[in-house]
Parts: sequence; structure tokens; C-alpha cells
Amino acid sequence: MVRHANRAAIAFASLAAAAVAPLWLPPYFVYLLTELVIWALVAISLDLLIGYSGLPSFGHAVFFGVPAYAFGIAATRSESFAIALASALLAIVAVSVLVGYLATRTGGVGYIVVTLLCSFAFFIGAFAWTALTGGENGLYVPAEMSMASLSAHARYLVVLGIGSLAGGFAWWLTKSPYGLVLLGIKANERRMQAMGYRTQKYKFQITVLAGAIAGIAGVLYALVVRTLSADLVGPELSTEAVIWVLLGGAQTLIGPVLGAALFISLKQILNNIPAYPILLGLLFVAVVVWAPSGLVKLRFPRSRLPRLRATRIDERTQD
Amino acid sequence: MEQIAAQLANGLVVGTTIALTALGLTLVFGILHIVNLSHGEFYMMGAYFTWAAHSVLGNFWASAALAALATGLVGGGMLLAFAGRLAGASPLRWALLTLGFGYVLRELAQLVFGTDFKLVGLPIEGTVPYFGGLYRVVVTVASIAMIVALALFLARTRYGVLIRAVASNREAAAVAGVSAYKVYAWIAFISAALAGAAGAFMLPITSAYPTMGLEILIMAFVVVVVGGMGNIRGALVASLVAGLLQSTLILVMKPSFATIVVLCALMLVLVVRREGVRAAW
Repeated sequence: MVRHANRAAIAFASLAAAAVAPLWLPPYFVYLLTELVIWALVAISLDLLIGYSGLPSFGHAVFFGVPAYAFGIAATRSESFAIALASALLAIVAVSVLVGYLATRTGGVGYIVVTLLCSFAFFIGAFAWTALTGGENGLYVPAEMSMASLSAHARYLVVLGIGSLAGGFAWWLTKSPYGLVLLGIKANERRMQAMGYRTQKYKFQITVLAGAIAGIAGVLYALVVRTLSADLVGPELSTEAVIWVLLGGAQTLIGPVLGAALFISLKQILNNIPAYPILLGLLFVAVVVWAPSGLVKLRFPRSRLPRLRATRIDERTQD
Repeated sequence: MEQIAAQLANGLVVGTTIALTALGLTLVFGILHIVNLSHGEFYMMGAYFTWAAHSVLGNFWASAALAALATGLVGGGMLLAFAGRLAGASPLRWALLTLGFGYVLRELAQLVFGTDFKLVGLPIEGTVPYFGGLYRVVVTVASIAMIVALALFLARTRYGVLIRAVASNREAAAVAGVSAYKVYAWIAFISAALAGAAGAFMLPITSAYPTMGLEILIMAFVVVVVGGMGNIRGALVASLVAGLLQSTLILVMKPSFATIVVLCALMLVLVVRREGVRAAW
């Protein structure tokens, strides 16, 4: 598999470039890049659900925001960094298990609705429970509990390191037999059940795994950006993440990363236009109608033949 | 005592409003397989249309009827315009598409009507003992009447039979000569018109504002999920429970906490009772 080896080489080369290149960039851009790596991690974890398991999560922000909040809350209340980190890890597990359980319990389209509802519930909660979350004022992670003491480039390297580890794990997962089972469930769940796979268990596990990766991104966000607001668990971020994945191309891992980068840059540029939400809405419509399988696949329609066939079967079973 | 009775009566109004909205959602989901995230905006559209018609006509009930009709045509038309293109598409794509609709409609409402609250005076004055305002009672009765009428329409009329035929097996219905497209058009229209009517009814109570659709969408979706996606009877029961629960909880806590408690309570139902009946009639 020459192509396989090539791809790994390209991946390593670009990773090395990503680590070294910002040395020559001003700190502000390094900061933007750091944030982008965090969002890329969110996009990758969501792609594990949407692209590789056929589980459209519309509440991915919950997995991201709740651990970030947990870290922030613990960091403002206690002196110990270890306690803050531990409570964040606890929150990662708790929230992914809770949402994963509820979402996979309903099955089918219920997954979309339940995840979206969880996002709404946490959003309202983050606003209403002012004593804990700061409500509308948001929550500030104290500087000594964050990466504020590191230089911009060091921070970027730490985030990139953790991000590429998690991303590499996601990539390895999709290539493993476990990933194949997930793809099988996406294509035809009933057939997988008939073959003896307990699909419910797999769907729950991958939701928890993807939730954990998003949670790691959330903690990184709290460490780097340090300002937490209710939007981080809200439906807006959740649905935006879905757009990143679909815009870039689900089931490619690299597509959602590019999608996130493209979308966030577009948003920065368009944010000053008054009718911005209309543009955003029209973009959603355009993606759904004209690029249902993403921009990456517009460019390489033939390089992934077997996978394409899998998605087609998937579409037929969805009918 | 008086207060509790008033809140229960209020709960009935909220519950029937949720029921009207959720019915439209569950119909469109059960038959067209659309996860309609812009349904709340249809509700908002109904309220704004009523306000606009009321400022011209001056009669609330005529404006409400017109608004429901207009919402049905506009909202149903939007869904139908993409139904051909997205035939057989995954629910994910529909969810995203209607989410886009929602953004556009909300922003349009803000551009056209502004962000301030648009209010219409109560069309019926007076109170009923133990129930509070007479208008609320009339609206509750009217909503229940509409739900019953819809149930009869689906159960007894020729069109109702055709709709159920397409819902249970589209291919077989098509082979038997039923035009699926016509059925889709009817369902899209009815669904949006129900949301429009609910919005129109709530206009004198909550007034109209651009984000009014979000809250009702959340409730309607919970109700649809808990009732069993596509199941009408389940959705009805769940919406009444949700409305009553929320209005009584408001007596003891902040409204937003009440919403969360209702959400959690209904989610608990999911934990106890695994997925409801799917599109079963």
C-alpha cells in the first residue's frame, strides 16, 4: 500500500510543519492557531460519531463545554491544579456517559433530538445557575491555574501535542477492526445485529469515546482561552460543529478539520455584516443541497471508492 | 388555592399550545421523515402574521385564521420545496437544512418587526371562576377542538386514509395509485398551519418576539421524543403533562429552572420506557 505509506508521510510532514511554522508568526496568530487546533479536535471527535458511526450528535458542545466549566469552577474554588484537573476528568466521564446513555437509548433519529435537548438543557442551566457558572457574566479561569505563564508558542506546542495524540488515536480507531464494526453499524445496523454484534453497546461506547476527546478539547480551551460562557455548551456551537464536519466532509477526519478552519475564518470575516445569521442559514442550506458529502470529497471523488460505496448503502437504508 | 388553580389553568393553555406545535412536528416526522428544527420559527411566524393582520383588520380571530393559513402555506412550502431534492436523505441533512431555515426566519423577523415585543390586547375580556381569564379557556377549548378535528380528519376522511397509507408503506401506497407528493403537501401544510395557529393563540398572552420559537421548539421536541417519535397520542399526553408540570413548578422556582426540571423529568421517562412506538397509528 504505497498510498498508505505516502499518507502517513504527508501527515507527519504537515504535523512537523505545523509545529515549526508558527515560530515566525506574531503571537496573535499563534494564539489563533492554538484555538484552531482545539476546534479541530472537536471536529475530529464529532466526525467519529457522524462520519464513522452514523450517530448525528447535535449536542456535541455539551461534551466540550461541561468539562471546561468543571475545570473553571474547580479552579476558582480551590488552590490545587490537580483537583481542578481531576474534577474536569470526572466531568468528562460523567457527561459523556449520561448523554451517551440517554441518546443511544432512543435510537435512530432520537439521537439527534436527545443530544440537541441535552445541549439546550445545559445551556439554560449555565445561564440560570449564576452562583456556579457566573451566568451571563461568564467564568474566568485564574491565570495561575492556566497556561498563561507559558509563552504563546509553548502553549501552542502543548495543545498541538495533546491534540495530535488524540487525533492520532481517532485515526487509529477508524482503521481498527472496532472502527470497521462502527462503519458496519452505520451502513446497516440490523445486519450487524444479525451477525451477533451488540450494536447498542458499540454506539454507546463510541459516544463516550468521542465525548471524551471533545472533553479534552474543552479542558484545553479552559486552559488557553480562560473565558467560559454559556455558549460553550449551547446548541449554537453544537450545530456549528455539525456544519464543520459536513462542510469539510464527514468520514474523512481531515475534512472536518479543514471545515472548522474554513468556517471559523469565514465567521471572523463575515461577523461585522449585519445580516450575518441569514448568511449563516443560507450556508447551511447550500451545504445540504450542493455539497452533502463535503468539500474534501468534491476534490477526490475516486480516491475512496470502497468508502463511498458504504455511504451509498447507508443512504439507501436511511430511506 | 386560587393561585394553584390559576397556574393549573395556565398549564392547560401551555400544554395545549405545546400539543398543537408537537402534533405538527410529529406528523412531519412520522410521514415525511423530516426532523424539522424550524418548527419553532413557524410558531413565531404565526404570532407575527397575526400581529400584522390585526393591525390592518382589527379583528383578532380573523387575523389568527389568516395567519395560520399563511404560515401553513409559507412554512409548508419551504419544506416541500426541498422535499424532492432531499428525497431519501438522512435525517441529519434535514435537521441541518431546517436549522438554516430557522436562522433565516428569525433574522428576517428581527429585520422586519424589530426586537421589541409586539402585543395584541386580549380579544375576550372577563374571567371564569377557578380558571382565570376567559380568553385562556376559549383558547384551550379551541386548541382541543382543532386536535380532535385533526384526529377525525386522519381517522375518518378519505384524505386521512391516504395519509395513513403513505405513512405506513409509501411504496405500496404509490403502487395503489396514491400520490405521495399530494400527501406530503397536505402534511407539510397542516403541520406548519398548526404551529402558526399555536403562535397566533399565544400572541395576546406572551406577545411576539423573534426568539419565541426556541422555547416552544425545545418543549415540543421533548414531547415528541417522549411520546415516541411519530406517535400522536403519546405526544398529546406528554405535552399536557409538560405544560401542567411547568406551570405548577413556576410557583416555587425560577422559570428557567422549571424548564430544566421538566426536561429532566421527561428524559427520565426515556430511561424507564425504551423508545416509543415509531410512526404507529
